[in-house]
Amino acid sequence: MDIADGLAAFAKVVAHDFSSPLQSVRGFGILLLDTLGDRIDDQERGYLGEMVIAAERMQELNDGLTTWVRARNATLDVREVSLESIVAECVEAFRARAVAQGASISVSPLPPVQADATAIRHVLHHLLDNALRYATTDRTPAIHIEAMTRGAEVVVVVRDNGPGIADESRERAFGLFKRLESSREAGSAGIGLTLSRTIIERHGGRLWLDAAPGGGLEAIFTLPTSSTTARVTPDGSTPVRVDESTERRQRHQRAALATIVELSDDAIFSKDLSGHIITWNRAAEMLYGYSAADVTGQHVSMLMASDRLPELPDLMSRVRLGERMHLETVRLRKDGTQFDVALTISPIRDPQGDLVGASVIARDVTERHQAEEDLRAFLEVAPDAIVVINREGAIHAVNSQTEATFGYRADEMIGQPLEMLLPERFRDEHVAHRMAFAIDAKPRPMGTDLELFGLRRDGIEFPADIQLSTIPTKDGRLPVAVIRDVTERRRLEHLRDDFVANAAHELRTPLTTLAGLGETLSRSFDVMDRADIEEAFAAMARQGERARVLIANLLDLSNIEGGRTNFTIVNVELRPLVERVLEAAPPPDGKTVAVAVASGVAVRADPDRLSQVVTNLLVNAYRYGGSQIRIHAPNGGSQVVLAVTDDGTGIERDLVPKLFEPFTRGRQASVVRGSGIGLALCRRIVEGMDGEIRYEQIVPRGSSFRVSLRRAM
Amino acid sequence: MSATVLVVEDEADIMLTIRLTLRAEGYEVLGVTNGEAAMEVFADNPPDITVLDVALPGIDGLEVVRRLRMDSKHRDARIIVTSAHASGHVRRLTDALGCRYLTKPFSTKELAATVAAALCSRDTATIKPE
Repeated sequence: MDIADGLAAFAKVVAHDFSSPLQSVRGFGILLLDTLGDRIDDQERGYLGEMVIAAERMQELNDGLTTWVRARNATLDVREVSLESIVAECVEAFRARAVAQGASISVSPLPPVQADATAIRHVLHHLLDNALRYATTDRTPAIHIEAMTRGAEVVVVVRDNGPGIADESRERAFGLFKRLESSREAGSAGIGLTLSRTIIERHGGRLWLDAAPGGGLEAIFTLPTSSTTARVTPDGSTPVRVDESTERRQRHQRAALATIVELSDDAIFSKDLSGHIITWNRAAEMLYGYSAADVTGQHVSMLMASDRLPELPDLMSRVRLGERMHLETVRLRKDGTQFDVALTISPIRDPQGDLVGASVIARDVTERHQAEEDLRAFLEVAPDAIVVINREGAIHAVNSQTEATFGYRADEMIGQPLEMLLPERFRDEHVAHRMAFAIDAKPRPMGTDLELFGLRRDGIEFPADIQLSTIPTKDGRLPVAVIRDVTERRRLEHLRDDFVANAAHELRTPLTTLAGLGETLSRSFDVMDRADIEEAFAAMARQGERARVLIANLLDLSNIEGGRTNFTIVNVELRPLVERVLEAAPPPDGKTVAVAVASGVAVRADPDRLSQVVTNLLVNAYRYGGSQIRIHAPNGGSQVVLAVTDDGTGIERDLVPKLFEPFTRGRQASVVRGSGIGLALCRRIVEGMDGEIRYEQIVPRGSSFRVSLRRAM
Repeated sequence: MSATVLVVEDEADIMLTIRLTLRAEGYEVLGVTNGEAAMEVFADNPPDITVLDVALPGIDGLEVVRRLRMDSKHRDARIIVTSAHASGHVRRLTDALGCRYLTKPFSTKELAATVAAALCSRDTATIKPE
C-alpha cells in the first residue's frame, strides 16, 4: 500500500472514528457539568472541564488533519518550529488523562526542528496517546520525551515503560487498521502509526519502534535539524506542564543556561558515556583550538597527548559510575602544544536518573602552576623550616629545610597534625595559639613570651622560633609556620651572658681594692703608719694595672673576633723575639727560664702579636707552673713550633677542654690572678696568623703550650 | 685593749684592703687564706669578730660557720660573711646561721660600720639566753 492510498483510507476513517466520538465526549461533558451542578466539588468540576477542553483540542487537531488529508498533495508548511512548544501543547492536552492514570510525563529540553507544526503535533499526539493507552497496569506509567541532535537530524524519542511490543511484531504495528493482540481491548483507532510514519517520511525522516532499556517501548522519529545550531542543555527533566507561564519560564531558564554555558570563560563541553563529544562551548574553542564542528562526535582522546592516554580507561569507568571528579592533568591543543589543565567532570543524567554522559569544565592552570613552582623554589631555598597547615591543623606541605630540621621525610609529615613537631608539654599551648591565629589571621611570631621547642624525629628537642603567617595556595590562604632552630643563637646568647658575668666578676676584685683602699686612705691617712700606706698604694697600683690589662685584653679579643684587627704578617726570627720578651718579663725569684731556640729559625707572623702571645705564656708559667721553664722549638715538620714548657703540676684534667675559652680558671687562680682571658686571646691571635695553639700534658709532670706557625719563606 | 678581727680571705689584695681598713680603725687584724687555718685560730686564740669569705679553697666559709655553731665554745662568735655571689640561698643560710652579711664589692666604710655594729651588740640569732 502506497502513501496516497493510506492517506485516502485515513480520510474516510477520520470522519467515522474520530469525529463523532469526540463530539460525544465534548457534548456529554458539557451536559454533565450542567446537570451535576453543586453535587460535585471544585476538583471534580475541574476534571470535567479539562475533559471538555481536551476533547475540543482534539477535535481541532482532527479538523486540521482532515483538512490536510484532503489537500494531501499540498506542500507541507515546513519552517523552523519549536519542538518544545509542540510537545508542551500535546502534553498539556493529555494532562487530565495522565492524572487520571497516575502517569507521569517528563520532557527533556528539545531543539528546534524544520517541520510542519500541525503535522508534527499530530504525530506526537498519537505517540503519547499510544503510550498512555498501552500503559501497563502493574506499575506507574512513565513517559519521557527527549531529543538529541545527531549530525543534520534531530532524533526524537517517546519512551514508555509499558509492556512493549515483541521484536517480530513491531513492524506489523504500522499496518493500516492493524491492532496488536495484546491491545485489542484498548480501543485503538488503528491507523495512527501508519499516518505518523507517513507524516515523518514526508519530512524526510524515519519513524520506528524499538525496545526501551528496562522494558517498555520507544517510538523514535527523526526530523531535519534547524539551520541554527541547537544546544541541548543537559539539565534535569521537565515535569508535566502545569500552566503556560511555568513553561515559558522554564524555556527561558534553559535558554539562559545555554547562553551562560556558551559565554562562560571556562571551557565547557559534554560527552556521552562512550566518550564522544556532544557539545563544545566558545571558551573550549579558545582553550583547545578546535571549533565545535571539529570535535562534535569525536572522541575525547583527541584532546590527550599519547602519554596521557593511559588516564582514559580509569576516567571513563569513573564517568560510567557517575562519579564527580576533579583532577589536574595535561591536555593537547589542536596545534600540538600541551597545557596544564584542571578538569571538573560531572555526570549528566536523564530525567529518569539514568547516566547519559558527563560535562567537563576545563581551566588552564599553566600560569598558576608556574607561580606555584616559583613559590616552591623560594620555599626550598629559605633557611627556615616552612610548614603549611591546612584548616584542620594537619601538615599540608613542607620544604626540604623542614626535613633537615626535624629529621622526618616530607611524606611522613604531610597529613599529620602539626603537633607532631612539638614536645608533648607544648602541644595544648600551641593549639591555642594556632586557634587564636586562625581567627584574626595576622602574621605574628608565636610564643614571643615563652621559649618554644621543636621535637625532632629522634626525640631530641631544640629551642625554636616559630612565626605564623598565611600563604596563598590553590586551596585558598592557608596558615604557615616558619620554624627556625635557634640552638646556635641560644648558645651564643648564653656565651655572651656568661662572658658579661665573668667580665664583671673579674673587675670586682680590682674595683673593690681600688675603691676600698682609696676610701680608707682618704678617711684614715693620718692614723695609718707609713708601711701600711705604702702597701695600700702598691695594691692600688697593682689592681689598677690588672683592670687595665683585663680591659685591654677584652678590647683585643673583641677586635680580633669582630675582624677589626689587621695582622702585619712578616718573616719573624724567633730567637731575638724570645730574648726581647724575656728582657721585658724576667723570671721572678725561684724561677729559671732556659731558651733552646736555634738561630735563624723564622716564622710568618705579626711580631708584636707574637710577642704578646709569648709574654702571656711565659707569665702564666711564672704564676702557675713549676720552677724550671723552657722555651724551645721542637720539630714541627712544615710548621715551626715554639713551646713554653714548665715542670709544674700541669693543668687539671677537667679544665683542659675549655682551656682556651675566656674566663676558664684553675684552682690556683684565686691565689694568683690574671685577667682570665689571656689564653683565649692567645688562641685568637695565633689563629689570626693562620697558626694553631695547643696544650700538652708532660709526663711525668709539667705543662707545655705549643704554638705552630708557618715557616718563614 | 683593741678588739681582734680574724679575716678569712683567699684573694690577697682583698685581704690587704680589709686588713688596712680595719687596722686604720684601730683593730688588731689577723689574716688567714683558708677555712682550716681559720678553725686553728679559733682553737688556739678565738677572735672577737670574724670577717669570712664564702668562696674559699678547701672547706668553704659556710662550712666554717656551721662547725663553729656546733661547738659550744664558739656558738656565739660574731661573724660577718662576705660573698660575691649575692644569691638568695647564701643570704638565707647566713641569716639562719646568725651572721651579718656583706656583698662584694663592698665599700670599706660599710665594712668598718658593720664590724663596729657587730662588736657593740650581742644579737647573733642562734644565741639563746641561758
